[in-house]
Amino acid sequence: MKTYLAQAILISVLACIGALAVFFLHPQAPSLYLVEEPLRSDEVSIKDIETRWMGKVIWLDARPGDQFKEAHIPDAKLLNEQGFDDQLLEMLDVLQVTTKPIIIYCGGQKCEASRHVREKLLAMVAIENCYILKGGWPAWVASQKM
Amino acid sequence: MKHVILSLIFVVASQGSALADLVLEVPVVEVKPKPEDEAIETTFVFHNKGTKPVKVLSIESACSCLSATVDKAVYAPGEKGVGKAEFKVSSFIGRHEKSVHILTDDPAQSEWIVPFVIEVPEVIKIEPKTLQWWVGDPAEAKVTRVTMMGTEPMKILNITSTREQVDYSFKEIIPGKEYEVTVKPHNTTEVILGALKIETDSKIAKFQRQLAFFSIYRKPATEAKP
Repeated sequence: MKTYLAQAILISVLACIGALAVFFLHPQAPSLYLVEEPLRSDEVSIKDIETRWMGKVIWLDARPGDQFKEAHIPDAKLLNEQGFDDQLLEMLDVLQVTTKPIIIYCGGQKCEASRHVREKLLAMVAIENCYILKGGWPAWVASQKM
Repeated sequence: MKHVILSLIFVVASQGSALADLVLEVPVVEVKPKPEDEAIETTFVFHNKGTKPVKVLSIESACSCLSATVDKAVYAPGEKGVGKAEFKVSSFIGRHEKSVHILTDDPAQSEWIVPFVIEVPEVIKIEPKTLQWWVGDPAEAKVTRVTMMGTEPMKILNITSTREQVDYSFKEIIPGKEYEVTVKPHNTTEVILGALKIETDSKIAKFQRQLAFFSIYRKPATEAKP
């Protein structure tokens, strides 16, 4: 009985060592717990927008037109990669007079559209306060439920 | 002791051995639309080279211009899969690197990224796309060059401005190929953002109107070049 118990313990210990080795050495090992990614220099969070500018910003929606039509942040304007020139033309009057920060969002954390739109916009107009909403549209939707 | 050694081998061998591994047949999916294409569809072939079945949970695209689907939900080890992707060309020009993210049920490959390179022929090149002045700069004329890159010659028919505070003109440098557009603001005392609508005789509707922009804007405190 003692031998079986010792073997069981040994096997468990070896299994743990193996699991730990995989966890530390495997290049695609999943994290044990979720850690919030830090903001990049061109990003702001919903909380920042409230604390720094009390929500008084211009929202630009970089998602496809059909998603924008379905739902968008109130007063947001559509500016995506596909229709960039024509959509920018429509908002020149707003950009010309505003001094508010401009916040661009797209479909989620993996979405790169808002970053591309920001690059294209800054190449045309040297707006100083132009940021990307971290987490994009899902982050804004989540903030409305809190 | 023999049993312990066998158990040890089993335990070590079992750690991480059952993995899914979706792999494309090519390093990158190339997409080459024609100038007149509004959208283009392509397929990509992949294999599950892992040792366990993999279930596709969802597909996300990093660009709203690119969407993709795969032919099945679950791929057995060694099984071949076919994906379909659609790229909406719209106003894209030049080379673009995009990707779709295929989310799977395998923690070791929870997100498989399928890379795409899209080469959209540039039919009309406007360089620079935006003419820029800082507020307070001398109100001097600046020039943008319009080059017809296609095989067919194309002419500029007319140009109009969205703002009255600039003078503008165009001249033909090489007939049907190259044009110079000159813009001169009346002054640079205030912020002005405007556009030039350039009409061409292109047979393809989306190239019949092109936009170039001009901006007189506040100089950023952190940046010094227009």
